[in-house]
Amino acid sequence: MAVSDSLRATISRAKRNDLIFVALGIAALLFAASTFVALFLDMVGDGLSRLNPSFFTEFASRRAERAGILAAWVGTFAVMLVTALVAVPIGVASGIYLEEYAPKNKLTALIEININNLAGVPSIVYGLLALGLFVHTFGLGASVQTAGLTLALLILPVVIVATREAIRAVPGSIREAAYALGATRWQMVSDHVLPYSLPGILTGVIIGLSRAIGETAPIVTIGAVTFIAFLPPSPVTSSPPFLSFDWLASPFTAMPIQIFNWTSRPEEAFQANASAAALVLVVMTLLMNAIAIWLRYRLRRNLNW
Amino acid sequence: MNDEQKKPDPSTLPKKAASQALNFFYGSKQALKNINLPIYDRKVTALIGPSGCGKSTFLRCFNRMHDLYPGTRYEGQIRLYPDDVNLLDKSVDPIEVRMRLSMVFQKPNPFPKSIFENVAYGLRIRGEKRRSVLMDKVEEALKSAALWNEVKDRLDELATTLSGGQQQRLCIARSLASEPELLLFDEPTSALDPIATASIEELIHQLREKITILIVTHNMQQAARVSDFTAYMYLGDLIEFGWTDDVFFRPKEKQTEDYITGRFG
Amino acid sequence: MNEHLSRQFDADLIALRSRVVEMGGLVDEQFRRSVEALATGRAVLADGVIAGDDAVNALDVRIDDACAHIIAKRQPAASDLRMVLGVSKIVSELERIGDKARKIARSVVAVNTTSDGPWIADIERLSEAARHMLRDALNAFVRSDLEAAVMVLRSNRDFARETSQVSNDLVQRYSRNADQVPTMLDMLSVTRAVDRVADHAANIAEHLVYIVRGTDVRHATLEQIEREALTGR
Repeated sequence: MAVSDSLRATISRAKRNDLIFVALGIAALLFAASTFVALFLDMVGDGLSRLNPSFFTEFASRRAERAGILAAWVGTFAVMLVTALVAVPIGVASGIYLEEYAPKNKLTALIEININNLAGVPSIVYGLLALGLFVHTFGLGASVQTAGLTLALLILPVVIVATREAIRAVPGSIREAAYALGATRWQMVSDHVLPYSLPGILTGVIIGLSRAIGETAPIVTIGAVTFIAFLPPSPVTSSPPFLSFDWLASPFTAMPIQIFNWTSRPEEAFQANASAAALVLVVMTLLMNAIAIWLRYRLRRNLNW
Repeated sequence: MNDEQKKPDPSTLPKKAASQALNFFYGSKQALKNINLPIYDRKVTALIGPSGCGKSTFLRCFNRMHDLYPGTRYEGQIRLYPDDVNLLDKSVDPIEVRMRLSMVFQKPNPFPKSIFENVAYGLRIRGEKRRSVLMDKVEEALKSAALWNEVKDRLDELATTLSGGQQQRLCIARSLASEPELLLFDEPTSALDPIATASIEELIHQLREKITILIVTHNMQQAARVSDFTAYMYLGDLIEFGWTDDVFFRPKEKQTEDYITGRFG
Repeated sequence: MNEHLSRQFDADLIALRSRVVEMGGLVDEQFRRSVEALATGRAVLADGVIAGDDAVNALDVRIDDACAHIIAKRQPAASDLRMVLGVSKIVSELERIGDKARKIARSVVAVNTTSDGPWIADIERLSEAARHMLRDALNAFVRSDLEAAVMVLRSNRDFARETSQVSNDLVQRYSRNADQVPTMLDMLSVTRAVDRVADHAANIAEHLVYIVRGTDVRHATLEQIEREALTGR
């Protein structure tokens, strides 16, 4: 009897600690979540009235009620496209090389450390690098291509690390199975490792892009235009060869720059525009994260190891 | 195992392969010491011994799996007959070796692809593209692996939806599809329940009519049940090799005796 | 021999062997008493032997059962397997010696009415030799002593010669008188029973060769057995 009494006391003491931690955890979570919700609601309250179709189809204007984000969202879209097209092949190839091919030596270790460090470099530094390298040395101008390349550099470490993590999750037994059947390294990678790690790689790419989409500092540094009343030239033309890459060299603006520009205006009406644009940007980011989660869920259903 | 009373002197049997003075090193650590072991044609040879005795290491020499990892080194030879080639020779490409010898692993490791694609993969990387040929060979391999009846209506389903025992038989079918000269089994039933184990053992029994099999097992009874020959290894040495009936009934070496009677300390 | 990882397995095997020795002692005593009953003509003693055979049979069943259980639970291999199979065979030899003792005890009344002095003396001498062989075989079993086992087999060869001599003498003495033929047949059958006891003791020695060496020597010549047992080849 006495033994079970003391056991019960011990158990209830231990359970009390459980409760205390749960309470602390919920408090911390509520603090973070409520901060975000408050910000979001504030943005909605300020900007919702400005969210109408013409807000998306109008260029910026000196008159707040007529101003829109057309140039900004098209610019952001164009820049993201370049970023993805540059960062994904380079990042995935680097990740594959480092994980599957690179010999395990000091040089490889050094490269790995540097990639991890790159992820921690402040984004303004990338802006300065791009200003010196792309704008001045290569003469690419304050264009879509420069911004795309800059943001690609910025998210490259994220893509590489995500690729390596995804590749590493493919079990060694699958690799050995392929090798044992007589596959070469490249057959093993392209037939097995790459397809099976695709969900993880895609997730990493989208997370990287959703980070890039909100970046302001590097784009400002390379000299993006803050007030623009035209779109980049269309990639599709009416005369042969029907494709044009002139849009790459076009000046541009982007969502964060538009927001930044409006918030620095003294007029109260532009603050509402800024809130509305910020709302659009947040929704775009959330949407991308949602796609990442969905993709991961969809594609990983088949991979249960 | 064998019903015939008189077992012939093994040295009169045709050999499929033989290790000759085989040493193997992980870095500076020697894992196999001067292994001389014949593998007789269309017989099942079992490798037994306590964990770490080198039996899996030995098996993985045959298809040069160690080449995949840095710091490994072979000495000596593994000769494959009848063309009498040394599988370990520097001039022999490990890919070629693996195309000629197949391996079934400890844990079933089907690719997360369809049942059909799993079995067809070995043929695909050998350059076979004709759908009808692939179909025929996949069917034949699945039949040899005693899996055809269970999966013939669901070849496009994911292999990973099969049960553990079915997955392992699928892996055997995958290995058989490319018509290997020697089939290597690395503890093929250690992750399976007794029923699935029995079906794999029955399969091995059927396969030995057609193909030479080398099997590593930590289950002594399994070695006794499925093999014609048994080799006992300990700490990288080959202690005893002979007809399974003899090794399990009257081993010549005291070390073997102690191991198979459960006196191993 | 080292110990098994499973102490219980060791204990099972030790228990098995000691039961064999126990049964050997019991059978030896049955046989001794049956011959004593024959020599003294004491029917009470003979009845005791006949009743005592139940205990022998019970031990036979019990030990065989223990062997079956060890095989089912432990899947013994090599020397362990040969020990269990060998014990099972030794036990049936012992059981048959028990049967011979009962047979001799049964013929006590019939034989004793015309007790033949020289023949009784022969039987006492032969049965003493047979008991010697039995004890030697059991001792060889306990010590796994193949030299001792071969000695038993050698003795059996001489023994067979002696019993046939005794039988021939009997036939010479009695066959001329038709009245005494039934008695003679009883005496012949007792003589043969004693001879069989020695044979069973020899069989035990052969089973020991099987247990230790793994070769079945039941149908080999003595020379072959000696070579196998003493040199292992």
